[in-house]
Amino acid sequence: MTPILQFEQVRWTTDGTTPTPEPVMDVQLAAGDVLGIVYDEQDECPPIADLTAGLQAPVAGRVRFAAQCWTDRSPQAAAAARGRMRRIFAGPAWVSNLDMDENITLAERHHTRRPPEEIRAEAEALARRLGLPGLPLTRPAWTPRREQYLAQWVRALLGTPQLLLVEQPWTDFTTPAGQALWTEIKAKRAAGMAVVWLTTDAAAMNNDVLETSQWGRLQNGKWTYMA
Amino acid sequence: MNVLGRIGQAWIDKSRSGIYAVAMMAAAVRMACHPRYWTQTVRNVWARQMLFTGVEAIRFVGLIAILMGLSVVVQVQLLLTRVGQSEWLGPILVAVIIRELGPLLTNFVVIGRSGAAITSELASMKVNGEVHVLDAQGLDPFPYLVLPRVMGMMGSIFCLTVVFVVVAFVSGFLSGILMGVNTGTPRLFVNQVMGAVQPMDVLAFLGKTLIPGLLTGTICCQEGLSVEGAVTEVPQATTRGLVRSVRALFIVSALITLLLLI
Repeated sequence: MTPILQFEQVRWTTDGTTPTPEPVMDVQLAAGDVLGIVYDEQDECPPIADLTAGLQAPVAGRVRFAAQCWTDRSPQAAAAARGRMRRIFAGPAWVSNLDMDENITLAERHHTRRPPEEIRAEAEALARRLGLPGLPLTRPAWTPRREQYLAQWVRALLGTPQLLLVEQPWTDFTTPAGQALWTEIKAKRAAGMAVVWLTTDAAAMNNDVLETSQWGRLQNGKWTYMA
Repeated sequence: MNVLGRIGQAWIDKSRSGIYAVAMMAAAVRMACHPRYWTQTVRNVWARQMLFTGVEAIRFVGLIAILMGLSVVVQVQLLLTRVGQSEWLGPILVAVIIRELGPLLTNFVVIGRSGAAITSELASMKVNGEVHVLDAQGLDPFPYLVLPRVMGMMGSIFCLTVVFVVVAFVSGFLSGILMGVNTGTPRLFVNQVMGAVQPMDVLAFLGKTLIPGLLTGTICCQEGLSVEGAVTEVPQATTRGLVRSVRALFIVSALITLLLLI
């Protein structure tokens, strides 16, 4: 089976000048797999998501998504490939001049020919299952942080994504919202979605709920396979 | 670096920026011709741009057109009646309103009102990481942000100029009657103006509305997206966008006039 994501001897920079030291990152992720990446709490979130999405070029090695290297894709093909990914952003996550509901459905409306009403209905149902009263309709600036975070998950699980990049992980799966979320992720994984889970909490990797297929630690820029 | 070196470097930078703007404009036109770029989301942004730049500016453009009709059209009628050359009313009004003032003033209004807004909006989006958010979701910033804005500007300027010309003539005619300058019928006035419109006037009108519209949209998007990361760059980019757009407007306007006179 073709892997969804491949990092081949990848090295990168976080400050634009200093490349990560050896050994370099070398991972492969199949459909439905979960890759856990633990990084130090005092460090910034590593640019794994940008490398994976082809938004940052590695200083060495190759990143393949759906068996094709980002450098071999045209800008249009790269944008279409990114449309098959979803992301829980650690930093800014919204376009401020769009309402939250427009933000949530934006990628799905842009990349698919599904009727907007159908996308909206799916998002609405997903939002309710995750504990939101419905789709938030306000601008991001007027939406509470917790609602924004849940809305990021609604956006991430909309449609049929191939890869989910989680930079800001959910921490408590014992709550009803957490359980509902994991049920949704499991369903998407069963449909073929792979997950890259970035966290500072190593204990989460041994968590039965997360079901990581493989995980490793990024420490001082060094990648070490743990399982 | 010596003085000559600095002048040379500044000239090279300006040329590079100009070439980049022309390349962006060409890319926007090429994309606009391909239906696959006009996804539902891009059409939404375009419609919003038309609403903001075109529809919401009608009142302001209309007001300026009324005042222009009051001052220019009435004056032309008055002067030509005094010297007994009323047959020149049509050609002079066509040259002044349709070929020059209409496109120029409408472009000015749109540059000041929407060009500045586009630059500051895109610059803020860039600074706040929103362009990265779009990119990460597979929404290429060029087709999603630039294409609908450039096409929206172009379409709006064309439509607003048509509104400007019509309102200026109507206002000029009515105020001429009120001031006792105009003694002809509306039909005669329309015939005088329409009869004076030549194919070259239509070409000039199209050139002076569509090309500056394209250029303004492109320059403002280029300046907005050129901001790297500091909030303080936003007003600087906005000023640069305005200055470059006005310069481009005058150059294009003068070039078209010269080309059509040759």
